[in-house]
Amino acid sequence: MLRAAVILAVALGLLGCLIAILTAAIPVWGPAIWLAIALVLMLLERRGYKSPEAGLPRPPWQATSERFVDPETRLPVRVFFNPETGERRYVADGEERT
Amino acid sequence: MIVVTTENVPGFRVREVKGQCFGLVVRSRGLAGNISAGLRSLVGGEIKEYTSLLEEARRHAVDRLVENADAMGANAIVMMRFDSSEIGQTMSEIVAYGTAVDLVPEA
Repeated sequence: MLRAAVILAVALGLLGCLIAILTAAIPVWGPAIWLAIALVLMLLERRGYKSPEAGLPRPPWQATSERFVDPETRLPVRVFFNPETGERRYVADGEERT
Repeated sequence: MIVVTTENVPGFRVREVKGQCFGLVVRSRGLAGNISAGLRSLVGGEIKEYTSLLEEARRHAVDRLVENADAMGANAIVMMRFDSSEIGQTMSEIVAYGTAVDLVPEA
């Protein structure tokens, strides 16, 4: 939610700069360009790494004994391992912990 | 793939030591995340942006460690440890390292 507020603040700042440029002919091109770059970077930002998936995977995926509670979603997560590729997957396995 | 922080795994013996292996990752929170974290640090309490950053980085590092151990033909990693450092002011480097071994059940 705080991230959304930051993005909104940058967008409003950019809008204000554009209005100032177009209506009052105030040359705030520098801040406008930087705010535009910041807004694009924020919107393209890659978030998260392997968020917990729903649904148990099928063989060759094997369940490991690793389990943890995802701090963002508060869901219990079980780790699965594919012995053919060496990959690991994180699968939500249970109800949200309060 | 068994991953443990201990030297031995009860009920198993080491048939072969494959060697050292590690998984390394450098992650950043991004511009919005860093600004949010900076604002949150003014108020105090848990900085959720950095908590999730470090949690994800450790998972990513362990995933790479397991992938590398699997490529070495191991079925377990013993003595796994984490090490971390900072690159720049916004990037965190995490390395998970250990000894890749081939475990067999004890007779």
